Amino acid sequence: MSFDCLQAPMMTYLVTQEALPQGATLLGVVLSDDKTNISVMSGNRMAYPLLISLANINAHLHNKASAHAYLLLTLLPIAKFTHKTTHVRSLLQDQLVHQALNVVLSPLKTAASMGVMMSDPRGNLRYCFTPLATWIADMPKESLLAGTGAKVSPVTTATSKEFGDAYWHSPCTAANTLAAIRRACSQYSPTDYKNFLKAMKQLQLNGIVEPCWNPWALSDPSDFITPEVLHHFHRMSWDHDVKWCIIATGAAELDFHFSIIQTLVGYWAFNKGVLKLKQVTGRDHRAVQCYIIAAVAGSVPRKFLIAIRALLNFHYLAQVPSFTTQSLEKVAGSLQEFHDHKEAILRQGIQCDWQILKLELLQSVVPSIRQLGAVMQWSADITEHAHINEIKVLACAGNNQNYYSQIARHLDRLDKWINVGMTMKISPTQARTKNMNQWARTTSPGILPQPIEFPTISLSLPPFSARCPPLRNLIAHSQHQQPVSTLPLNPRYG
Amino acid sequence: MNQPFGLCYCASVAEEMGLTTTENSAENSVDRERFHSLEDVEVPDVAHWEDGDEDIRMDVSPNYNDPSTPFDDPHESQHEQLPGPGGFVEAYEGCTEAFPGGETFMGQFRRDQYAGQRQENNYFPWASRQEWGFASWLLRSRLSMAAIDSLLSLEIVSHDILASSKTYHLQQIRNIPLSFRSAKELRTCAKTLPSGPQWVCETLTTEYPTKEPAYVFYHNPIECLQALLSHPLFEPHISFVPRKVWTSAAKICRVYNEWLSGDHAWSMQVHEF
Repeated sequence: MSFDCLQAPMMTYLVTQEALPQGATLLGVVLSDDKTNISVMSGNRMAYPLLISLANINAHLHNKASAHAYLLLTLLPIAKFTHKTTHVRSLLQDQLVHQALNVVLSPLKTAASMGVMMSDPRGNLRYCFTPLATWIADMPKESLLAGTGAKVSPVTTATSKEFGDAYWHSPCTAANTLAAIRRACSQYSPTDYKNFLKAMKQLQLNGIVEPCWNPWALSDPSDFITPEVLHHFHRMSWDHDVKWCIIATGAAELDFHFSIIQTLVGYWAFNKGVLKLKQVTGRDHRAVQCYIIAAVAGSVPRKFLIAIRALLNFHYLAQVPSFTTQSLEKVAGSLQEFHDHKEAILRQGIQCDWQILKLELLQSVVPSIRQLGAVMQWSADITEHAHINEIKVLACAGNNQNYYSQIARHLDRLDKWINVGMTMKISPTQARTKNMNQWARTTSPGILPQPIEFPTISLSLPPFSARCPPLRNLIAHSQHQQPVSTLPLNPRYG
Repeated sequence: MNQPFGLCYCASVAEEMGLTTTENSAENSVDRERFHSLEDVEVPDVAHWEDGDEDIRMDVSPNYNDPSTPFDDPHESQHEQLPGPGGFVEAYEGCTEAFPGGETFMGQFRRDQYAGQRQENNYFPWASRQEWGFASWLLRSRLSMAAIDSLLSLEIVSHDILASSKTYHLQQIRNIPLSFRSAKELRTCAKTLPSGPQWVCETLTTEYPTKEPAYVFYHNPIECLQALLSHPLFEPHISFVPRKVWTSAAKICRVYNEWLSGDHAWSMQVHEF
């Protein structure tokens, strides 16, 4: 790690920050990282995958788990350092993650500032730039990514005492963070781990010296770290809203309320209450949110109920896939309503100083929607589900040795299999029928009384069914070269 | 209000749209030159990718131009149609210039060294569709190599065709000619298939010693993006043009849904000298 070079990337960052050349194409990169457990029943094996996707793909499609729109880009290292102190060990691990990310992401960073020629789906070349559109991660990973400490917001300049404020703090830009890192580096050498860590903590940093987004043009942590529905909304409502309600109504009383609610078909039933739930997951958080207002109404003061309901309203309204200016006002309005009535929560004897980072992050929901579109499309649900296909199934298929290399090899094979399966769909069906009839003649003479009628269209092969109208366009395009024009790809935009 | 696609949400949007649609019809014709109404823009084939890997199919979407249908069945409706018949789109002009010389997914596939054989036999390196089906099932199954070997050594699978022809009545079930006899051969066959992005492994050197060397396994991210970009099934669902969407031609009420409809993509593209 060289620390003198901090100055140089900073310069390029500022230079390339300007704008794209005429005729350039934007490809929004979506990244997502999270640790996931891969050992079953034993071991303490974790994988640290980084997934990549493209923001240009329609949200409704890339949010479908079966569409495989998230590809495994990297398996990041999880190393054990031999240092004695725990804090230093975690500092070293954090720095290692960023070091690995710097290696992996450098082609994207070059492409974001210089551009790269890439083929579009129709076989034309486009001059593409790859800014980072969003990075989907849970809260600790967001802080790790932004390089900020635990007691400050990763996207704004708010510190822990300001988390309960009812307004949006100014964004914490890349330049701010880099300046702070340089200040810490000038005080102590980064190899003097203990003192360096102290200096970093004072400056509200987490110890990263070369953040992976540093010379990435057109990308700033305050922009690409987006509010995330699974962790910020659902988890928060379980961790805080429900706890407030438990204290306000009393544990036994709330459980009783939950047990006597008549359950509707298709909804969750909590016959034994919610307090003794075990292994509570995102699905339970969502189900409890459906009932919580009905369960506490009547037993809490009106203003308390308004505050809880306003927060819940905000969570629901912010999950809408399409916003208008009016509906954004409604979203902001319900958050304001919560802040107007939050004093009522304290009056119920709840010890809360509003030092809740998730509450602060809710303030950036509306600005983020204006910048990057609906927050629901950047939910971690889909990326966490992608871990099953991209990591867990593959890890189980191996012999529990060398997980990473086995996963890589298995994915390679799977990629090939998917590609071949797809081309078989696309290739003209005549070749296929000819082939099959030939096979029927050569392999089973005399046994089958008459030639079998092989289905020409419906194939049993997963995962691509033959009823794909878009594919016929593709065949046409692959055979005749598209006339080159400045028209955008999608003819409907022309 | 339970889900984003829920009844309450759709009703609230319908209510908002109801306020704006009346004035649109008059202004629609005036601005048709510059703006394109949303139903021209949004993709008409909405893909319903069913649960699981097994079945992906594309359905023909309901008719968006029919104003009576959009909110009849909110659970089936996709969000594309939500801005309704009154949407106006201002697409960024002068971006995404196309140049000759690119390559499609099929083009890449045909460039493979075994492309000649594939012209003859669609299922190369396998002999037939049946064999490809069996091999592909084995390749993506969770069976270990030992389990695959033991499956292939079963008499019903590996029985010699010549021998079986003597016992006439058994031939029907024993007649599975396979070009591979073991899991290793199967995987060697699979290796000759055209590949996507290649994996790379790199050892990171750390300043402080670690217990085990730190390896990082990765793809080239540009190749990954290219694989997504030239994926045939995504083709009708990819757009490159930043856009501003309004509910009406008066440009009062913006619509935010996709990444490209946000301000960030637009402001990145804005070119200033």
